[in-house]
Amino acid sequence: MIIAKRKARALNPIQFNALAIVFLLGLMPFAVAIITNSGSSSEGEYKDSKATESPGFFYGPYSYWLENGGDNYSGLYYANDPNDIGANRTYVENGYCPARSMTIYPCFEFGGGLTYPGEVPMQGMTIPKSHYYTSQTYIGSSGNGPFSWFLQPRFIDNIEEGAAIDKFKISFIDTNVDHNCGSSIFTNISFEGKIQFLYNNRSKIYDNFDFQTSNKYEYSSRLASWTAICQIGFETIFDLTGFETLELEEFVGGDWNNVSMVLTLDNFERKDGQNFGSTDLPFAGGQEFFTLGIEHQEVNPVEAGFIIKTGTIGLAVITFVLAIASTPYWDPFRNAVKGALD
Amino acid sequence: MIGTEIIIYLATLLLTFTVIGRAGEAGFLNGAFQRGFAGVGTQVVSSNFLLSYTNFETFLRACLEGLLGFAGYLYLASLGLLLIVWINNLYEYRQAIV
Repeated sequence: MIIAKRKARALNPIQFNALAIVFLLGLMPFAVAIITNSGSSSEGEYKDSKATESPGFFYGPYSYWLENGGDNYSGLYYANDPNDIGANRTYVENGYCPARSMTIYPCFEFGGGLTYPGEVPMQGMTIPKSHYYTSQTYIGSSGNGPFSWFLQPRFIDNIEEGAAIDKFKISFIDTNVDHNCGSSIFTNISFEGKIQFLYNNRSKIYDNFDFQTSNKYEYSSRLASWTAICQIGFETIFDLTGFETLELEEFVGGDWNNVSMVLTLDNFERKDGQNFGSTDLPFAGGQEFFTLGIEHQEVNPVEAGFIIKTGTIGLAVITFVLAIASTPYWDPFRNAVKGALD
Repeated sequence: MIGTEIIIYLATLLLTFTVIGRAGEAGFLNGAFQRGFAGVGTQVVSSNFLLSYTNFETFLRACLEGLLGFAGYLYLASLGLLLIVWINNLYEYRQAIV
């Protein structure tokens, strides 16, 4: 029996147009999303980036504040305290305190401290707040940024050598005061973030991270018999793309024990449209310290690298074929490929 | 990065020419105002989609900065070829995608 086979018809121009548009606006972004997020897992577990040690303070080498919220503070604090005492109540800009008479860099250093196990959901580190006004109430208000800290390698000394980091989850919590979880002190906020890694006198910056969150940090603490407590705070997740992960791994050469970080949060806004001035932030004003928690999630660099490279080559081939298909050379090209395969 | 945005705006502009041209051939968008309005709308929506809702710009930037090595440059070359072909088609056939 002979079965007649219908000759396949080539795409007509409109079909081809539609195919090209679907490719450019649909398939290509989808493929790019898979490639950029390759190896990343939303279900992966976070690990503490800071090694667990006995609670208490640790000292040098010192980390320091680089920026503390904007120059709106300077006049207020300087007017209340013209004496040159205490960097923690002045305006910090690029690590300097312009309102102080002595030019010291960095002008607001700190060692750090460790929280007790179970006090916060991760290994927390305590850092002195800025605009903490000794024996007086908090004056001024929260500037809308930038807030920035230089952190010594000791703050991430639990990251294993050779690790490829997909995400950093960095939490800022004011553990000094518990609030009613329904308190009007909590509000939705947005801000931008930047994370910089320094290694061997070189630096690598990842920026344009947008955060939409609330200044309410709710968790269960051992200190509150594991009941839910609400404090001023938030968590930020710096999610690197697959190729940024590989780039960072190559940049630090796996030597995470010698990597310093600069964290920057900026352009704070309230989502209810009100002025940001009096909004509570975990690291400004109030009590003396706030808690910083750094966690990370790793990926398999070999697997991620394979998906990224082969995926990009595949996308390049498809784009090349689409380019040829858009020319009169399509038929000879197709015949040549078909002939080579036959 | 400006280079990546130019690539995206150029690609979506060529798509827009095609969509508007085909719509005109099918008897739609006969007035100049309609064509202009639809063209600007298509361009804005498609470029905004690629820039704001996808990782396409990040991916292009990574290719341009060499983060993807040879594979990234190969992709850029293919995309460049595609855009050149579409620009040439526009010149030759008054239609980017033929």
